[in-house]
Amino acid sequence: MTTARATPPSAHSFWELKSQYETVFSIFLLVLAFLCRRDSSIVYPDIVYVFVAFLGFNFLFDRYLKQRVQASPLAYSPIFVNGILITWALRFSGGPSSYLWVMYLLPIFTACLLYDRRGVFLSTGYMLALYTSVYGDELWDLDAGEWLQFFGKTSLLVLSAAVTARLAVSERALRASVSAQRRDYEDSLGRLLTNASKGEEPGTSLKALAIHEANSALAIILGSSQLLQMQLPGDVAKEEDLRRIDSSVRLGKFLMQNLAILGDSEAERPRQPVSLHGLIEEGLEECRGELRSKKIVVGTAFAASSDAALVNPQLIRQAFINFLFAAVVATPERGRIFVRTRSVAGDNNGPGFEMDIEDGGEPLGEEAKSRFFDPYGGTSGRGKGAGLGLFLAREILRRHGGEAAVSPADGGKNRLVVRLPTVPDPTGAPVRVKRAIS
Amino acid sequence: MPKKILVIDDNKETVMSLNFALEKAGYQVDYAYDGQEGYLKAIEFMPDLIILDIMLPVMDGFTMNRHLKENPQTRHIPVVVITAKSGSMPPLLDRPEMKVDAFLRKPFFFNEILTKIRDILREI
Repeated sequence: MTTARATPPSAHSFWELKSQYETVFSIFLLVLAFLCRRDSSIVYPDIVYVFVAFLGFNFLFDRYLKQRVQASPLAYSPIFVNGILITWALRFSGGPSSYLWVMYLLPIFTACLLYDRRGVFLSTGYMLALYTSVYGDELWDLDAGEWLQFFGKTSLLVLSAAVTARLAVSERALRASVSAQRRDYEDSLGRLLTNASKGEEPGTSLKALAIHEANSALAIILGSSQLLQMQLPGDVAKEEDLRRIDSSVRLGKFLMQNLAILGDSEAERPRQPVSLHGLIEEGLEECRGELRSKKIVVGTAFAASSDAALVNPQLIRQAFINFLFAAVVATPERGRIFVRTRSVAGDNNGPGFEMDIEDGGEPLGEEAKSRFFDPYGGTSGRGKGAGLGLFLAREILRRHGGEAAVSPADGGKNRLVVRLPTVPDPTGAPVRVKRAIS
Repeated sequence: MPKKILVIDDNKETVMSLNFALEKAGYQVDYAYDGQEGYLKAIEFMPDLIILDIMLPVMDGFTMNRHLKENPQTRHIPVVVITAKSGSMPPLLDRPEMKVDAFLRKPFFFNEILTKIRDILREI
């Protein structure tokens, strides 16, 4: 699996940062040197040449050399050269009385960004040695007051270097952290996109993730509604409102289950021999919450013959859930649903499996029957369902060579007939099937 | 002595509502918001049953379940998996060495999970 990777928290970004700081600082110094050219302590135009050299060296190094020397001792060359150039600038701007010593903080900052602790100590020591050299011959001729001034300025430089180092380390840590987070994010996004396009891990596809989030939100709504019901016993009006919330959440969950199977290719949904009775039981288990809520009784009569079919268990399970859910929605409180199965001859004279679902709802008229499997025509037509479940369920059956129809039952009830081809068994031996997992 | 249940879910609202329902049903409840914290709590709290979400931060539910099954101290604790993912139970949780005791898809009713918990705790 290939995923787009972000730049790791390497020294590369720190080199770029160094380049930005040095460019801005060099241009600022050039302008400053030009503006202060009439100052008696400034050696003009020599100091401008120093700053041009500073700017030019760093530009050339960052542009052409840094990639070649990163892993060698020459990686320290900016520190070495910049230190000399800064010391030179100090000498052209008043020597010991110059305030340009603050420029030493720039290579110290660079060292903290790019090198390890040893490199930082060596670079800082080198800067302090260069700074001391500015005083050169005068150092031995200083009186007590001038020594005090020298130590004061040196202490200030060391303190500033410490603060700069701290800033650089924080910057480095922050950049590394942001870079790592970005890499993780892009990795996971890449994984999701790849899975979504290839269908390698349906559980982690974008669709599955969206469904997961929607189900989590529904779980919070349902949990809160149930908590309120526990806390407000006896408040009939509120209980009725909360039951409506529960019912909507159930419908939401049902829609999410259907959404999960929409758009998947055949390759993503391989077929295997499964027990259709097992899938019906799973479908009933899924509807248990609604059945209990409406106090509906379910009677079952399963045929003893083989119920093995070569199907995708997730799809057929969902189709059965949709058929059963439609029956539950159509049946009034304390009503009754009956599920029967039997062996039949398939459409191609092979063995087949038939399931009847008899609901306890009002008998359907002819027009309602003709639109029963149309989108928004089944239970939705009776103002109760989402409107897509029966349509999807029949499409799933048809993909598996099956069919669904609605027909009248005894006593004016509605009967949904579901038919699927089963696995041919010419030897008459029992077919070994893997029960779908509930 | 009430039976102890450990709830592990990264969703605070789910944990709180389950906590309320389980305590009201007479169980002693502790909870955790990620797999690693949950595993440590399982060793410390030694619950009679664990309710475990799959998609958890730090350590996911699959990994935590594997750790539970590998540890002789926690191997016997029944696990009820709850998940907001659609579809059947992941095959990983049906392997003999990783098998969980029940699987529930969110959103679910308190009654559904309480029934499963009672069934499991009655059996052990």
